[in-house]
Amino acid sequence: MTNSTPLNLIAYCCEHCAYAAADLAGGLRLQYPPEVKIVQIPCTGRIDVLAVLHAFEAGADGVLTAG
Amino acid sequence: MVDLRRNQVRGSPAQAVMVVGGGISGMRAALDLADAGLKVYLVEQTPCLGGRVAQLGFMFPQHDCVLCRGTPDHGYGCTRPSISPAYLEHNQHPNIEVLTNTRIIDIEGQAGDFTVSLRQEPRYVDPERCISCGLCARVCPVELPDSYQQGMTRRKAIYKVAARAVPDAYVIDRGPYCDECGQCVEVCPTNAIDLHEPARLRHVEAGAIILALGFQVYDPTELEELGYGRFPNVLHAMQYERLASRSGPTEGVVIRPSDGQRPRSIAWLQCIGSRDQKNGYCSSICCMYATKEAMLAKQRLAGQVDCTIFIMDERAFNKEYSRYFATARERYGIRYVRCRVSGIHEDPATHDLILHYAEPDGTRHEERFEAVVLATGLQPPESARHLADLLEIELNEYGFCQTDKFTPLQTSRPGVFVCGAFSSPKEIAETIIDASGAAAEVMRLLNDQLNAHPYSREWPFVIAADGLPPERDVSGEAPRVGVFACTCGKTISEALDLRGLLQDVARWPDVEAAELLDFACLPEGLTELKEAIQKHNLNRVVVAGCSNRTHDALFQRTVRQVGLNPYLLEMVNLREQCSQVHRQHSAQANRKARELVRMAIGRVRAAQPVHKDKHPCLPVALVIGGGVAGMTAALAIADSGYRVHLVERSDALGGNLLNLYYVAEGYNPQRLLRDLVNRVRAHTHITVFTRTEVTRHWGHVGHFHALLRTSHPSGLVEETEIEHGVTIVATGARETHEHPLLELPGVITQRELEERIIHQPETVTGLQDVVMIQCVRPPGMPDYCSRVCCTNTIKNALRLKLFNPACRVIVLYKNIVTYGFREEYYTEARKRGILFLRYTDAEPPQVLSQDGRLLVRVRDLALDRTLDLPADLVTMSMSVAPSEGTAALARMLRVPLSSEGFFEEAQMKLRPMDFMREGIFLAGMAHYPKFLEESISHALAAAARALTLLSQGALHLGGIVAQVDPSKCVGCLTCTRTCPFAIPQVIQQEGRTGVGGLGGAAYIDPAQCQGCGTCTGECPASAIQLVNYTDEQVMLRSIGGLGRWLPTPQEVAR
Repeated sequence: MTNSTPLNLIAYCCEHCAYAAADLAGGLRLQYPPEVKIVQIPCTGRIDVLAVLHAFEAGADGVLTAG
Repeated sequence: MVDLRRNQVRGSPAQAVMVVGGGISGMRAALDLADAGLKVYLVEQTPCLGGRVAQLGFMFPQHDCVLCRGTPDHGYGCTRPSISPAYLEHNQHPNIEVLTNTRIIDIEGQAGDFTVSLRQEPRYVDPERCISCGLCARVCPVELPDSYQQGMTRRKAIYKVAARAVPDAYVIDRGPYCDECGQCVEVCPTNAIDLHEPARLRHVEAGAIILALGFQVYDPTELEELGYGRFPNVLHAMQYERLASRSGPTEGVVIRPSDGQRPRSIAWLQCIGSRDQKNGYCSSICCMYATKEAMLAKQRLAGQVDCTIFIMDERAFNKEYSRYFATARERYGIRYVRCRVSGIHEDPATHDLILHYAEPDGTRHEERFEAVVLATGLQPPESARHLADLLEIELNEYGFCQTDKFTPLQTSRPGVFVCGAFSSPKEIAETIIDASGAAAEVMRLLNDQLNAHPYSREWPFVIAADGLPPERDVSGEAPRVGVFACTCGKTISEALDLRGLLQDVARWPDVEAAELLDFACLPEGLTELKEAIQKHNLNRVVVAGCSNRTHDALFQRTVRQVGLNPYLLEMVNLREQCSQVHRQHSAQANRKARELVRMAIGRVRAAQPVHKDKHPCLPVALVIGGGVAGMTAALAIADSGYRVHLVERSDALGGNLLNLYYVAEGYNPQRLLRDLVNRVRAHTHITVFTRTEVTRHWGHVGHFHALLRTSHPSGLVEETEIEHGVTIVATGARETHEHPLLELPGVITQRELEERIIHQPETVTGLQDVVMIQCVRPPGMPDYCSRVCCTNTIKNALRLKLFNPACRVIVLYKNIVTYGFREEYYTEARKRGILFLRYTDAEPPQVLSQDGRLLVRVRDLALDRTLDLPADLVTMSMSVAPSEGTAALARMLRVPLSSEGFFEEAQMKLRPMDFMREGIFLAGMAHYPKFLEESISHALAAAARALTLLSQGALHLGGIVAQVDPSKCVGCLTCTRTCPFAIPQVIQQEGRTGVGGLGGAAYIDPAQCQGCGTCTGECPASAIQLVNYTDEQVMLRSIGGLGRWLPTPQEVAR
């Protein structure tokens, strides 16, 4: 069963840059794995250790912060 | 009969401004004018805004991606809120009308009253209805080279200029190749295409015109010896920019065109189309961009490439640029060879390129490179000549716009202004300065029109000030969420099963409505949305469709129109971040869509209305510094109708201008000084405080306080407290004088020489041998280019030659930095027999005193031997350093300093006259050493930015800001240390006690907070929450991010 459970990867993206970059990737139809779920944040400064730990606690397999 | 009407028009109807050119300068000027409440027509001849900068991937020297920092590869202006959210699609400034595909065909009238005739070519695609789905381009049978990608890829006849062009819509290139097959019309899901759209003629009334025509890149084809066009691996700079851009044809992988392989060696050849017989000027930006391109090559090719730049002088004449060159050389190992390469040969077997060149000492080399990039220069735009004839403005000998040194943003025709590279080659930061400066000139001219078109920033979107219905109070209501999924034609629904999604969603907690919309963003979709909100009495809305970055403003405005606070809306980015990027994974994409929608519902359930605070803006400016920049800024603001307090530390206005007697261009700066001082002293709106310093400064944008201390000659000290809405820092810079050699008789600074030339010419006319040493800095000072010294040295050297042609003048230099049209003086100096000898830091010149005579010992690099130069007089070009007290003032204003000790602006390229702290602006040499005309432009730019605030009756501040719960605060000062903007303070205030009755608690001024949330993350007591990004709105578990609220139907069946 475990191998059929898809991965959950959370990407915290700064709305000014990384999130905009993800939009551009969409505009250019660049393909990437659907396991990545992007959460928009106002600035990577908003992300603290707790937010990352909470994500793992909520079942994330990986957390990316980009900004 | 005399037609009186023309003379009476002025002042009666609200007048507009026309900005010609939709590149970065045109957009900046238009935004500033619109912000000051003027109506603006932004005219662009191509189908989309953005100009040249849209094609760049990165900007020197910080390598900010143009994507996030600025400009229009993908939208419009920087995405940082304070630069231009106003320009994102659907959130265009209500005062700006963008006219793409449009040219000026006629103009009549005069300053204050022009009538401009425009011709708008058809686009054939209605940008209001185009959803950028791309179906039309899929069926279009006509393929053409893609000019945005410099012809390196192909596009269809119906195309979008760039992925995120603005307007965000397709356009048809109706050349002879388009045979009107009509396939695009058939597939268009929104009926946006009309092949019979006619051209439109328009007549527009404008009080002033700003020309922001930009430049064109030099076409190196005519230099046959370089083989451009014949040798596939010889690229010009713009092609390389596309190759190195992430949105380029190779997604940023640098390849060579002949075989698609990654080159192992690349050479850059500088000054292609600049500093030559035909184009005698310097293009000002190529040294920097070539260095940037070489660094990008190193990064992109993981260091597996040798980069060599063949350069004449390293012209790194702005903030942090010297350090940039040092980094390129030391950290990236980029090799600079001082030489102009005269020809390129190709090895036909490998398409490698063979360069023959000579080192400065004369040794000859042959070297093979796998690719060559020509650092092509800047030329006047193609349309310049025609437009100049039409507008009757003068161009200079090269075809750039002619301007006067003391009015650098005015053309020869009153009421027509110029900004950006159309007046001389310049980089982005200078272009932005010009643009805001030109806007200030227009505000001065049309001062009765400021705030004639009021608008509101009360909401996240900018709207005209006239009304919206009252807001509904939803505070007592349980969440009633409506979820609206947009098919976007089939763009989203062909990849995702939206009906299935909505069936599930309908059963989730608090969801009262789950509906499918065909085109949520079109008028019919918006109407459906509004009706559904009212029908189901919704108080929370989720729109699952395209990116919130492009459409947030539209939907926020829509929900606000039916009385909901805009922050009760959440968008799900199903298009850009799901359906378009996971085409091969349908099942997983559907699962992801559900999770994204669930997170959005979770967030919106916790959402609360957000309001900004309304503050009046005091119609008064404080200008610190009474030099040319301070006086220029003060006059621009006062002429526009606002009061100014001008504070000067010394007892006279003028600053460095007091000691500037003539300039290379031949104008008389003392005339400017008299003119400025007289106008400032006589102006009823300006109060001048001389012998005065600012000793305290507090408050926030719109309402600052300052304490001024005036020391009267009598010894009396007077303190005055003033209140003001904005502050401009124009404290200038000074020529340093701290050097042991200056104690030797016969050794003086360049400025002292200028004084002697003017006041004691008899002491210099008889000189036989003069040695001028460039780039001298006091011991311990950081190394940077002071920008103005080379031109000043050449100016004085030429004057000595004029007095006495037999005088031998030798200039010892590291790099001659006569950028732009100043190159002419360098050429002139060499023609007149002034000798230039380059020295290096390894062997700096020595000044010796021998038998009462001065001797300068220097290593001649060409002869490779040491020369002893006798000298009657030695002049030293001393570094220009920030004014004394700069660091203390920076602390008082709580703004940062750059590594050189000058004030540091909010963003080097795109906000060169702003501070990060709102309401405080920067002008003149306090920013970095500048020429007179550059200080004037910078001061005008600062004034324009100040006027955009002063002209607004009320400022809306706050909104998405950090809030402290004092009862949880332990006063640990973590927030004060981590805030990048130094805004939190621990204060004592009634009703504000921390944990355990602590005397004070942290306070974050909502008028200053930038809303980044860094403090919220760092606060160990969790006492700070960021509005709209609270823990319960961000933490995954709270918003049900990865959990499940209900079992799936399959699970229920089991």
